[in-house]
Amino acid sequence: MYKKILVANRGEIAIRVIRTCREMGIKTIGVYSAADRTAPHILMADEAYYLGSPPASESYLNTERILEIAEQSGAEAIHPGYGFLSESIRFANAITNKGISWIGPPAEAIREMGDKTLARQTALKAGVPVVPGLERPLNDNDDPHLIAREIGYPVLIKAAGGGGGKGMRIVYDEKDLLDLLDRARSEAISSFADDRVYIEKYLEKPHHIEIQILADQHGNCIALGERECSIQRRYQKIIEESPSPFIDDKLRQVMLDKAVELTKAVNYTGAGTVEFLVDTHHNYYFLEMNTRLQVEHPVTELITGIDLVRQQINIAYGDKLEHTQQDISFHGHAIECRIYAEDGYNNFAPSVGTIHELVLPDGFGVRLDHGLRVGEEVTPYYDPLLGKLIVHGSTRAGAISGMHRALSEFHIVGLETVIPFCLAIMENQQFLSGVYDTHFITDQIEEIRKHKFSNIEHKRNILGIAAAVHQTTVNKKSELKNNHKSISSWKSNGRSQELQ
Amino acid sequence: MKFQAIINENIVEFCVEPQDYGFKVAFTDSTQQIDCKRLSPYSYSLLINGKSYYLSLTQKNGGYRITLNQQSFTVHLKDETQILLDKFGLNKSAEGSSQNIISPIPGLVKQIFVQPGEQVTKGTKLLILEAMKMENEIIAVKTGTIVEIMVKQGQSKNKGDLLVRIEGE
Repeated sequence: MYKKILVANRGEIAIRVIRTCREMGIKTIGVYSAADRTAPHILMADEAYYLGSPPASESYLNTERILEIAEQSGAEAIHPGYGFLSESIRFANAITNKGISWIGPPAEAIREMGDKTLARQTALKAGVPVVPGLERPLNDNDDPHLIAREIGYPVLIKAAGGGGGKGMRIVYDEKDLLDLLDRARSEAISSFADDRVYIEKYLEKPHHIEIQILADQHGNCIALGERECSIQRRYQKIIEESPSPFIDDKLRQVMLDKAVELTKAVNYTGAGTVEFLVDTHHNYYFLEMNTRLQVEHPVTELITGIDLVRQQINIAYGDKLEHTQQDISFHGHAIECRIYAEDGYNNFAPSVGTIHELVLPDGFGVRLDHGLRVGEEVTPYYDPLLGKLIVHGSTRAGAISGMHRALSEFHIVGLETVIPFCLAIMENQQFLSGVYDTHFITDQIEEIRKHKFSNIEHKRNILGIAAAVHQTTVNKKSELKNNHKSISSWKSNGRSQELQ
Repeated sequence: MKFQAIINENIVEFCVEPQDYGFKVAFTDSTQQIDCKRLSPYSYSLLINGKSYYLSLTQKNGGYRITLNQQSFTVHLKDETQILLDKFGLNKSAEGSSQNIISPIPGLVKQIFVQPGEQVTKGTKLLILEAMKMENEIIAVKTGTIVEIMVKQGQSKNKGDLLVRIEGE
């Protein structure tokens, strides 16, 4: 087995990978930007090296510097996490050329599946249905109006070079087409350095359901069940669960089989996810394949009991899969809430600032993957994901009540987060019923907002008292500071700084 | 000490008296004994009639941002002196008809759609602010004329920075 792995990422996912490495007796190398010198992943890694200034292009996307560190520190493999370089063909090639293992699929499979139009063609060839649309990126000779009209409005513009909802726009009306194409292209170029976009049919009320795959270098490939990811804001997932409350065993089996077929068709190895859209009539369409570990992978880990990062490392090292498809069984129900530094009640506006205080949830069935530390600053340079709260229960209702309890214990002071918003969803009738699609947040936003303003009357007195008590306490302390020389000036200075 | 707390346009008035253990709080119709422990510079535990409350508190825009049971509120507190000043009308800030467009998020100015002197209506796209790789449209909230644009394309702005000044009708 490897003795040393470089983790080319930050935040909760870097910590997630470091933890498994430690369990496997593998030393870890952390990397950091100027903004992350004291970030938890750096405190946790066995070795840590500086990448560059805070912007991602100069730090976590700085391939030359990461390669230099990998070579100098004697890393035998690189785990890219998700985002950043995880789907970079150039980087995957560059490190394998230096004789360092890439903990991810082969560059060729990333190319074939990472490029969405190419992936659609591959899926069609493998007999997997796709959403009707253009089979290639738009070029200068195309008349976008003609193409969109042929597909039929509403249409969806998507970036060919990436995901995560960036460079994506829905067009309901022909008159908005050119304007929204420009927006999508400019967002695509700043996110993926690639302005190619394509157009497909926009499915209404679809479910976003994805299949977790593991494939080794010996031709074995297994599917580890599905994740229901229909609760999204700005096309980005916020809550995921498994099993999906929407699909039945028969459809699940078909989708698992198709996902395995497609994975085998591209000689894929490692962990990957095949994403499908499922319409109200239970028709499924291949959406894309994510050629990396996904944010929501813990949901699958909790119901299968399989450490996906460990499997990734074993596969990259050349080991055979530890499990056959027959070994895989599902236990209970798992839900994940992504904890973003965003104000869920204010159009998900990003929030930045210093973390003043942290109270973390714990207890039965609770798993928290996070990269938080008191005193650490959340900056606008990177993804707003602070961590993920994942709860397991023997039933869906049990997982929901566990999640509700865990969310209400979770306090991050100094930032706005989506915790209150997620909590409101755990009380939402539509969510509780299990009947929801990708429009859930748009459709239920008013209902969720109402939740924010419930029981205010009762709280008003307590809030007023707290503010007054605080002010009185602070004033008393500053009086003490002025009158009693016996208080250490270090201490009082520290206190008054803390209060600012 | 008399206080007035303003929470979502509602006013709560009460007197707070420090005691050996905690505080005595008197409302117009009732008096309560509060057991109060400061847990950190940012959080308190209050026991009121046996009920236990955990509150976190930070300062924000001249008020306090207080979170209780995962609900956050802005509380503006006035002490005796400020209540008195209010009474004599000495504490009013002048309200203009201009609208200042403030950056709601930290971000990068990606594109500007308007020019000084231009007429805008409610909903006119003013500029695009990119934050955390997402493009956010900043729009006018009222009808008016652009007086000044305080930003340039490619500039980084902090939350709360003034972006555009619009003079109302």
